[in-house]
Amino acid sequence: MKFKKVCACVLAASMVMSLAACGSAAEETAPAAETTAAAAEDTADEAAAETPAAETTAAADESGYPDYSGVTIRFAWWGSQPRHDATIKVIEQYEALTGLNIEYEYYDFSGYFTQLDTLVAADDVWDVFQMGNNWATYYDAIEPLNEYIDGGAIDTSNINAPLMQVTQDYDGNQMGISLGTNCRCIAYNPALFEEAGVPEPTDNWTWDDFANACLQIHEKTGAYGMDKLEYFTLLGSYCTQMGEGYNFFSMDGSDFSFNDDTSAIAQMFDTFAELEAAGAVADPGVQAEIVDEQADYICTGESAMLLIPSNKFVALNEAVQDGIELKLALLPRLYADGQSGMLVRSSQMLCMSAASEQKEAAASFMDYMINSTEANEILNGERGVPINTTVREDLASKSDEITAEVYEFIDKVSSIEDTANTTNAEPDAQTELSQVLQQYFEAMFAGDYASGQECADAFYEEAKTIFASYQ
Amino acid sequence: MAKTMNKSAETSGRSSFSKFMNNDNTVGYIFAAPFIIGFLAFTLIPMCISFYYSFTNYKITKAPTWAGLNNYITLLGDEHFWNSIKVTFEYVLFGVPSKLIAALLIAMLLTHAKRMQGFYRAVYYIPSLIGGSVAVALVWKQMFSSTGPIVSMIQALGAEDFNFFGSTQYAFIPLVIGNAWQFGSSMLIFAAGLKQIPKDYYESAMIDGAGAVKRFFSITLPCLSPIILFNLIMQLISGFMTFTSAFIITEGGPNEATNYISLYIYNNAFSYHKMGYACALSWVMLVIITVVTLVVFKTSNKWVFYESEQ
Amino acid sequence: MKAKRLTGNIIYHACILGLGYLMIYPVLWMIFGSLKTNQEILQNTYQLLPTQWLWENYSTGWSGFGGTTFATFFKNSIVISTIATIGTVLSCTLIAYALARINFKGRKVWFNIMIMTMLLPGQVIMIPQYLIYRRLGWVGTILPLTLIKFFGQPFFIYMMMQFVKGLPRDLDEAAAIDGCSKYSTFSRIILPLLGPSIITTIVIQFYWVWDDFMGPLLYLNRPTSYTVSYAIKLFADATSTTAYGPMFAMSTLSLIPVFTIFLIFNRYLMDGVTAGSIKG
Repeated sequence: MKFKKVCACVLAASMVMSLAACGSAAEETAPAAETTAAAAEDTADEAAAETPAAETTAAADESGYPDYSGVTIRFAWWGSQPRHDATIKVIEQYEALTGLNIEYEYYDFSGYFTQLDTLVAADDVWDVFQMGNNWATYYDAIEPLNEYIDGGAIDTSNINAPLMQVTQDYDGNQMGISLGTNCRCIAYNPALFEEAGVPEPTDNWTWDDFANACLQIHEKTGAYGMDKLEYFTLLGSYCTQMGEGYNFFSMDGSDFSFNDDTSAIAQMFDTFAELEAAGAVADPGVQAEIVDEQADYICTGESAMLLIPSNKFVALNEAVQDGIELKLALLPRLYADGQSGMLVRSSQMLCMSAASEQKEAAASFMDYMINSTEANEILNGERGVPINTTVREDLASKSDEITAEVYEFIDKVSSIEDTANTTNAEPDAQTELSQVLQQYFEAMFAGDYASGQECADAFYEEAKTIFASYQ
Repeated sequence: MAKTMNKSAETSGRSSFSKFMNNDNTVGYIFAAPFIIGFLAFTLIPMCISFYYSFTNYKITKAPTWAGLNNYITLLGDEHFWNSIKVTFEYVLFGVPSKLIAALLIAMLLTHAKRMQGFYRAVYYIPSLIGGSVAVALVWKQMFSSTGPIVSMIQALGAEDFNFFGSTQYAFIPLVIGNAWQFGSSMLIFAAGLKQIPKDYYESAMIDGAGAVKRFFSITLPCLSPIILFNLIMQLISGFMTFTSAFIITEGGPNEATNYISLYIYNNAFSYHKMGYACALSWVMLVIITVVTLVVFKTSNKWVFYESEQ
Repeated sequence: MKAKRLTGNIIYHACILGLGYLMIYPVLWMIFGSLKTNQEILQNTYQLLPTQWLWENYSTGWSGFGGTTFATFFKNSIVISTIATIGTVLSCTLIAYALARINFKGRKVWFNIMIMTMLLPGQVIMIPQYLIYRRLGWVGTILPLTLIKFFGQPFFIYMMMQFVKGLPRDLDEAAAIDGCSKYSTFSRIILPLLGPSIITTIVIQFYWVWDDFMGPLLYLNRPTSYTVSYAIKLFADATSTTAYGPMFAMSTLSLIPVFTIFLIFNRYLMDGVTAGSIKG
């Protein structure tokens, strides 16, 4: 009864005035929800905008770092707890060195891109932001860095040219600068290979070898050859491996690049449909049940291989049960003497916003993230193998055995000659194509297509329509 | 302020100001003002903009360009869209009744437990509190996984090779069960509705010698019918818009079997950046849900009884 | 007779408890998961109890990210959920009374509009809405998450309408004969009788706002103003390693406030605490 009375009183009092009353209530509490750290964002933005440009190019002090007191930039990234902690530490270090005020925001992966989309629509993207290889989608929002590299704001003298190219567009615009590199690789459990009596992967093993290994391992040990499949990587590899000049997407991302020859795609569908039917790769249901690498059957010795980005190898090793050892292998080839289709790519990069009003300061911070040994000792290659040679050597010298294996693997891949023929382009149609490709694989597994060729042709037909819808 | 106004209305009831203030139209608009203002300020414009987008080619990262009816024409020939409509209807058909029945049953069951009612209600309500979290997705995948307890039971009954997430036919079942499992809010609303039924109705029925079943059909159901209608409409709408579970558990698979319309719209808007097309899909979906809702409203005249209209 | 009734009672309670256990098993799994290692959570899934009780997950989780702890996130969530819930109750009772009881011109139209606003997926009006809030200078504040609730939320408006319609009209008529205006009829007759539906609104809305992460994601772009629901997502990431233990630990703690609200108000929904005061 008491509750009702309270309710009635509150309501009666604010019945007509509800709007005004609530407005003030909300305003009173709003500042409480924010912290005392900084002024409200809007005012901070304005302050930043009003700072004269001359000040931003202030002279360096004796420590070699420029003075950016009074300047504010916004920086955002996605990741999980260790990355958030490390990145914030580096930010604070840089703030202490230069007086620059960095307003940072961090997100989970899908939240990050939803927020980025909204900011792009509002033309209010962060000054510096993390980006994946899908930068083509955000092309107009990104400021190419060429000017800042030529002007010396971003020092690239310790970075090998190919590692700069991984974040360039086909015309040489430096769309960002890589925070770390990785490549697709196969993590495998040599014990299962041995048990099944199949040879371990070599540097030029083929998809036939792969299929044979899967079947043998499944038959002899009951384990999956490979449980979770990364369909789009498979597609890209098969197409690229058809021969020199072949790719799924052309080098500039403007078209397909396999001469309308769907035979390799057909072979891919056939191979994996056979493996799936035999139980040597997991069916779509089991694949859907695997939430992430740490839950993969490879961790319990019930699967022999897993296709991963190389920077996840360390985490995967921590997740496997005691007694299981993993090794890294190149992806299989279509022809033993043919192209590898491998490519060292940027796992994540830093981009500068085209709308940024503090580009100088932004460039300077990016330079610190990439080139500073101190910063990278904190970041510890969690985003991938750093591209600065000095930093990389420093980290490699301090790393453990497993991390060293990843560094070696990346070196091996970069030394493969044909990597230059493999495209790094991720046109904005890729996400949809990738989704649709999975549906074709699942339809193929379900027996909806009589042959891989039929499935490949149907996929290519739809792929063309989808690709056209983005032009 | 409201209090003084009430006072003046009571004491000098004849002044023209008070007549104006007590006019049904004035009273109605004063009370409904928050909604009307909020709608005009924050909902109407975004709705209009999304309607406009549906006639454009809008990729979020680039300014929209006029596309006329293109999006709507594409949509007619889009197999993925028609499939999503089909699977969404299937989901609604199974998902809505199972959730409503579970909610009503438990709400009724719990009104009978004199001693432990609060505790029981808490136990049944907790699942609704954890929402669509990662933990739920994980445990749900595991309970229904091919090595999980439920599948093992089904396989023991003779259906070898059975699994939920790989089957285009059965993949929606874990989602339907997951949805019914979080019936807490519907249950609470039913419970509040049951509580509002005057006790003396039951007392006089008991005196007349009506049994439990008769009391349920002649008192509980009619008195609860406005609330049933409400829960039905709301669950229909949320069923058509179902998103989270398919997004985090099945990601639309296998082979599009759980690619519900909301998920398809989301993917178009944010994964494929085809905002214009996503808006067109949304407006078509709006028309579909409107038709379904209208049908329910029309039939509701026959089975919903309002105390105030007797 | 007495023995029969007793066995009946036992069966009834056993059934409810058994079903209840199935109901909360996933919740228990999450709670015990908060004390396990990643490996145990993901690879040893059918075991409910942890082999080793890993309480560190709570301190690791609580420490948050880069110095912003969960104390901040909890404070933010409580402020936002409380204001939003108050706003919803205040506005929805008023609006529901108008739409259910007052015969004003355009009532049907507004009702239909209200239903229609629920039929468009949020995803397609999200960006235009963001642009409006940004123009108003609300982005980066809690206003888009709180002030907006003072304009009513169709779900609760419609729910309350159904309850208002369930009240006999004789009440209003008697009040009118006694000289009550529509305003005092609302505050003295209708509002007190809406108790159960107001409580339902409080309980449901509080946890809806608490669980919402899309709003905080878009509008609270400063880590120190993130909410619990969003902060929990920051443990998981597809491109690096997800820390499930700490994530479950914080998810478990996140249940406490919403569950407390439920416990406080649930008493009012049960028999005996408030007498069903309607006499027909």
